[in-house]
Amino acid sequence: MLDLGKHAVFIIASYGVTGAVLLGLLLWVVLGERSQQRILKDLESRGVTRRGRSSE
Amino acid sequence: MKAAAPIGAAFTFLALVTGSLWGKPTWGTYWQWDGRMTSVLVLFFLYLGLMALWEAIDDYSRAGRAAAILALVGFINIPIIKFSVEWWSTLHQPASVSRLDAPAIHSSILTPLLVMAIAFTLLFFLLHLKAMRVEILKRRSARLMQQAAQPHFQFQPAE
Repeated sequence: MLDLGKHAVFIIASYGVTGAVLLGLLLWVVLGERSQQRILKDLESRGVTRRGRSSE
Repeated sequence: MKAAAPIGAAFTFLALVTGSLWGKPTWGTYWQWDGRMTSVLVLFFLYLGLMALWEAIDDYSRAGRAAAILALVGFINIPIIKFSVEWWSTLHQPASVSRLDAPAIHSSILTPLLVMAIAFTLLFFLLHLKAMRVEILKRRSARLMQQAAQPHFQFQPAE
């Protein structure tokens, strides 16, 4: 086990917070993209596409 | 800018929290209202303000204009952050990397610091590209929904 000395608690806390925030950012972009792809697919299956047009 | 603000807020939050955690053993306190710490906290609030502004205004062009004005005004804070340690007597140490003479940090710490600075910059670009893609998809689906809501819209059957 790596000896982090007397400041171990501060070092571990810093890595912990950083890991949690970076994981949150990654989940934000990955889940956001999936959710938007799902919405677009759903719209497409209902016939709402860019090919759809107003009759006016 | 809309896609970049949450990433900027997260990185600034990390700077504040990890700096504060390191401040306790080195300075004897987690926080002090000195120039550097306060100006970085103001930067964090500016990012939150930008995010709130984008969410508060539905019209993309109006939201973009308001956010651009806030970003321009907020940019005044950047030189304040940089020079805060020289302008005011602060608990935070003066510039130790970007100095006219050699950096004041030992190479055993300076090298990993620069490596991590490059790594976080690249991570920012990666996250920003992904966030911009999400934003483009979001706007596309919003436009399609708006289009479908029009009374004379003709649905195209899925192939």
